[in-house]
Amino acid sequence: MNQEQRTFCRICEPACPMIAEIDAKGKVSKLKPDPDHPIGGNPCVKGISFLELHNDPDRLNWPLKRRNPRSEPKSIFDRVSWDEAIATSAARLNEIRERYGKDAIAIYIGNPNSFDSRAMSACYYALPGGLETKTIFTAGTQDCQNKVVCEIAMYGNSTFLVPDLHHTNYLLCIGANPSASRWTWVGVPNDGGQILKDIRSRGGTVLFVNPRRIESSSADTGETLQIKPDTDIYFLAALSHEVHRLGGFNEALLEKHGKNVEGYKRFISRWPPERVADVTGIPAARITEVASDIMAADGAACYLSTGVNQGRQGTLSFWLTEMLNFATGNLGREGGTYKATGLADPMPAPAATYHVETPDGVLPMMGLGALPAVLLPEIFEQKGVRALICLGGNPLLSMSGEEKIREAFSHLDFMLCVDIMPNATTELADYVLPATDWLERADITPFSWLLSTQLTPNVQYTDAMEAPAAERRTDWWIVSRLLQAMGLPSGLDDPDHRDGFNMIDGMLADRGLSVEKLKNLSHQTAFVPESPKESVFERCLVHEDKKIDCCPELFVRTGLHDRSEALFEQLQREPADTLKLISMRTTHMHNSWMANVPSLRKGHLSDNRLRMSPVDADKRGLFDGDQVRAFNAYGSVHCRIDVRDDMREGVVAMTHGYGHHGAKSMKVASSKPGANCNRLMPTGSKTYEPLSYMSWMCGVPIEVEKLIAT
Amino acid sequence: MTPDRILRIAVIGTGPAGMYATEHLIEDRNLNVEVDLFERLPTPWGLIRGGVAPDHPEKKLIVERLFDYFFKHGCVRYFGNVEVGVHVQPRELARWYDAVIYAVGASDDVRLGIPGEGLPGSVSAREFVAWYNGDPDFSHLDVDLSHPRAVVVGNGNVALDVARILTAPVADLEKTDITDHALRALKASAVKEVVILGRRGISQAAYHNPELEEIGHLDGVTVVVEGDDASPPNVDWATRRKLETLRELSAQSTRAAERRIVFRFLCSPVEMLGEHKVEQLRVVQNTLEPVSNGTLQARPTGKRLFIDTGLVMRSIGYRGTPIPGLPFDDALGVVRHIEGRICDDQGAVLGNYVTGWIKRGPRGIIGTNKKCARDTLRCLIEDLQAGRLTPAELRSTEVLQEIKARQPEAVLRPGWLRLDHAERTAGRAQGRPRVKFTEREEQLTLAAEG
Ligand SMILES: Cc1cc2nc3c(=O)[nH]c(=O)nc-3n(C[C@H](O)[C@H](O)[C@H](O)COP(=O)(O)OP(=O)(O)OC[C@H]3O[C@@H](n4cnc5c(N)ncnc54)[C@H](O)[C@@H]3O)c2cc1C
Ligand SMILES: NC(=O)c1ccc[n+]([C@@H]2O[C@H](COP(=O)([O-])OP(=O)(O)OC[C@H]3O[C@@H](n4cnc5c(N)ncnc54)[C@H](OP(=O)(O)O)[C@@H]3O)[C@@H](O)[C@H]2O)c1
Ligand code: SF4
Repeated sequence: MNQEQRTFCRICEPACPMIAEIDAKGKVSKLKPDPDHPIGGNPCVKGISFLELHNDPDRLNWPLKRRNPRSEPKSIFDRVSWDEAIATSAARLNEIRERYGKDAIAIYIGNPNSFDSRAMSACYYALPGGLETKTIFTAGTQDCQNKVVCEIAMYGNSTFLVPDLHHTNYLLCIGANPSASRWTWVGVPNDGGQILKDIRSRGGTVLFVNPRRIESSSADTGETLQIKPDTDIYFLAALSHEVHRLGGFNEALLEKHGKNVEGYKRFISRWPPERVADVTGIPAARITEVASDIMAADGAACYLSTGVNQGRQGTLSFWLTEMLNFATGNLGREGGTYKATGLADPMPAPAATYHVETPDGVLPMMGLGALPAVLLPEIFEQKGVRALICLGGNPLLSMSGEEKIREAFSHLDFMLCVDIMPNATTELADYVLPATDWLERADITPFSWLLSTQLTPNVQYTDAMEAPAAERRTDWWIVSRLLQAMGLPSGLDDPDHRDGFNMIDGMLADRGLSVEKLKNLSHQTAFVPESPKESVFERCLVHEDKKIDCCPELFVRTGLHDRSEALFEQLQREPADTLKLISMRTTHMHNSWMANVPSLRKGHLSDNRLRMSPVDADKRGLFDGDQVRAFNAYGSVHCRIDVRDDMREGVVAMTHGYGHHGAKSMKVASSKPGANCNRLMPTGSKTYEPLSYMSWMCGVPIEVEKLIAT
Repeated sequence: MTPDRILRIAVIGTGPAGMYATEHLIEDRNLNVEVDLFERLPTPWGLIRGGVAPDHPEKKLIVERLFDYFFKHGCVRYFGNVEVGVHVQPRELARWYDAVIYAVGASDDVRLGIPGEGLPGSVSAREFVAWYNGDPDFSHLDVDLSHPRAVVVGNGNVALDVARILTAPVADLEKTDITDHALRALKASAVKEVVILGRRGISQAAYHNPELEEIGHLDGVTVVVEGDDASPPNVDWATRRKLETLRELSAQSTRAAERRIVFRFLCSPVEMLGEHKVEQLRVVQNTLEPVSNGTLQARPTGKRLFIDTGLVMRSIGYRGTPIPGLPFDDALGVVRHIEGRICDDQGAVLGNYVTGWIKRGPRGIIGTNKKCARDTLRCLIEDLQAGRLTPAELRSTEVLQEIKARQPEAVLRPGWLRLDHAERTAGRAQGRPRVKFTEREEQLTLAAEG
């Protein structure tokens, strides 16, 4: 008889409740939904299929040591003991640290660590803190760092405000496709889009702004304004302009909690709808209409996400979004935006801003600070970086400039990777350490609870469903063990606490909870009471004057304001037939994680197609399935065309997380590498957004030519 | 089994069965294969192109979603316009390849075996389908649509397909990839009524419920049920659904309609009458009698009827045809096999396999062939592991030379892609998925380089 145990998915933010069936040998034999769970939500195909990844024969099982030089095309690894792998790595890293300085060791932190409560602190705090290196790169500059710096500038800290989807009567959803991405920076159970339908059913409005008519948009939810890519900032500015012109600002609230309001008003006054209509592709009258709808709604929320983050002006776009919510009086009210309850409530004070010298000058680093990923090769060279520690990441594919990065890595004296799969990046390492996946480790709800973004705040505990296979170890243990061997402060220092949960307990204590208490609760879940919506003003404003900075001087000083004018002129001059590449998410792939899962790579899922509107296909004589070369000054990829009428004319879309040619040990992925769209994304000096150092990955001009069929 | 050994496999036929077999071969992590696809026609996809009705574009999506990917795979080659048994013989293929998988479908159909069946005006649904779907061998079929009534014998899904095509508004068909010659003929058609004859009762009808429901979506078509209105107790869920649907269809059919579809049950044709062409169909009424295997069989009563008609279309099943050199089961119309291994009196003809309609007979939908192909491949892999497969004697380049020598007009993958493009380009101009080219010469010209 199979035994059933409760657990939850740790691929993306909903952390869907699941039931694992465990067979007599203690192995998970099936993952399935947990329909009775009070958190609600249904796991998607990725969560259910995770068992395939868990049992993947290509998984990393033992510490591996490179036998041949990195310059050779095919890497050869030997199995070594943990003791040897850790001792040698620690010795090499210490040697490099002493000889070339602390910054000679670079760290790259990938996304998976954000979905592991213990690894999150080990990777983001303990390791960089212990090594005292400033050479830090994360996946954040590929997806959300603009929000981090914007919040610090406006509120004094990361606030992670969320839209009150349960009560709002108007949702403006910009650059997000919740039915594929399952929401980002807001924790909503995966409910098949019900929360959006509910807005509609209660008479409210949902309006999507996106170059593609996304899956989230339907007759049951709301329409999509098909904007020209990378122009959202001008739409937002004009929208704010109109709300202000029509008298929709809550001046008293602005006066009470804001400062530099005049600067904000000056900025938006430059963008009347008539000015932006051509560049955004949205008629001026429609912008005015949206403005009056927002004003008329009893509770409106504007939500912006990855599609805009990845454009060239994510920081200002997010600023305008936050300001629109605040200025219309929707911040801190029911149906508007607010600060949910959770662990980080309020967030601990941000680390002080520090400065790093780079080939692009001295760059200020805010929050957890990540250097511009697209400048990695140049920074490595300038700073004489000798070693890299890569934690749960595949920078070779997840950033642009694959060849340059490969070259940069080839010069390193030492490279250490921690992962669950032998991906393209681990193929280059000197040592590869095998981590556990989420079925093999105990956890509490990561991300959304830790950052307090859940609309129904809750924290859940799960045991490991299976003992780690072979010699896999948790990321927390691996990082702690490495620090310990290097003689640096480590989570393993305290002999009474050898699993890292003491730190979690410390964090839960504030809420009167502990891991032990969670274990004994029904569904191992604690629900945490909501704070009143208005409390956002007390809980989240941590500038010394407790005010919201409505026009941070930092944005002016770093040139963001002037840049918005310059880019606008550039967009105006752009030839009308420019084809622009945007990124999109599909329901069967999450970054590059599922690339080796056979059932998610069948047929048309086996490659990465370029989506194109029928009009653009027609112009080029292209049909569904045709092989094309997509190219620009940065690179070129070969891929198939997917003709879909959801695309705006002049826009093509592609999913990231493909291009696994180099991951020779991942049999499915390397035989179905798919095109890596990041090869077309700008890389190098000044191609990123100042201040946030966000890579430009959305709205990038490309050209497409047909390849002769063979 | 060593994944290092490259298995060279010939798949004969590019319908669903052949393509699913190719998928399973390519996707098997333990195999290292090269697949050569042989196809009698210049165009691939078997009955997906040549059978599935033009007003069912969603059923053809499997090509874009799945089959096309394997068709274009680096380890797959396409030899179109090459007929096994004509240009190359099975015994040669057996030597050229490690294994050969026959997925040739059913190229013939079952006859009624009644007097007058040879008269003009008597055609098979298979021919009619091939005609409206653009099989080059049937583009000159003479379909006489001058009489107001047509009769379709048999009430399977194919019968519903042809009845729908005969009654659908031409304006709707104009948006599909139906052939231009069929469109012209249908525009001029005098057919106002299609009688679908089922030899057994209303509860034994062979069509499926979704296909029946579709009849209700035809503009201007009314549905009439004749011959059996029994509402039998104890029928299974699927049958009850179909009974309800048919009842709804006939109930809502009061509005003025331009055309009608008559479902006539308990009725078998016995003779086609007419001087130079079919003018009348003589039918007999049946009753049902239980037979030993627990099913109900039709038994003729003495009662006869005459139906005036100019077109009788038999739709009582496709039928496989023998391939010279392969054992054939004449009773079932399939290649002789055990679990997919081709067998003769001496036992398995090692290295030769069947899948799809030529294995199971002409039954089942597209997806049925997926499991069918997997079952066959399980045998192939067993034989491989047991060392029962003789390694291919020719290298892949040598095979290509042989093919080109035997069939200079072989259509290779780039050729089909050129033809495909030409069809889709023509379709785009008319807002249709494609306009099919239906003459073999024309197809070969478009497939040729330059
Ligand atoms: C009219 C009709 C409509 C249908 N509609 C549907 C539908 O809507 N949905 C659904 O699910 N199913 C439908 N079906 C059923 C479905 O088409 C079959 O299940 C399926 O096509 C059988 O697959 P197959 O590969 O065995 O045969 P086929 O599809 O017939 O493929 C056989 C292939 O082999 C080729 N070939 C034959 N002899 C040789 C030779 N000697 N050398 C080389 N090549 C050769 C043929 O040209 C053909 O391309 C329909 C069937 C018919 C008849
Ligand atoms: N949309 C779709 O999914 C679709 C479309 C087309 C075809 N298909 C599939 O393709 C397969 C073949 O379809 P089909 O319609 O050719 O075959 P079918 O479903 O087997 O139907 C054959 C019909 O002919 C009748 N019949 C047989 N011999 C007869 C005779 N001597 N006299 C009178 N009637 C006779 C049968 O009646 P009895 O029952 O009395 O034998 C039955 O009604 C089926 O599996 C079908 O589902 C699917
Ligand atoms: S929606 Fe996200 S958390 Fe839920 S099952 Fe899917 S991948 Fe896992």
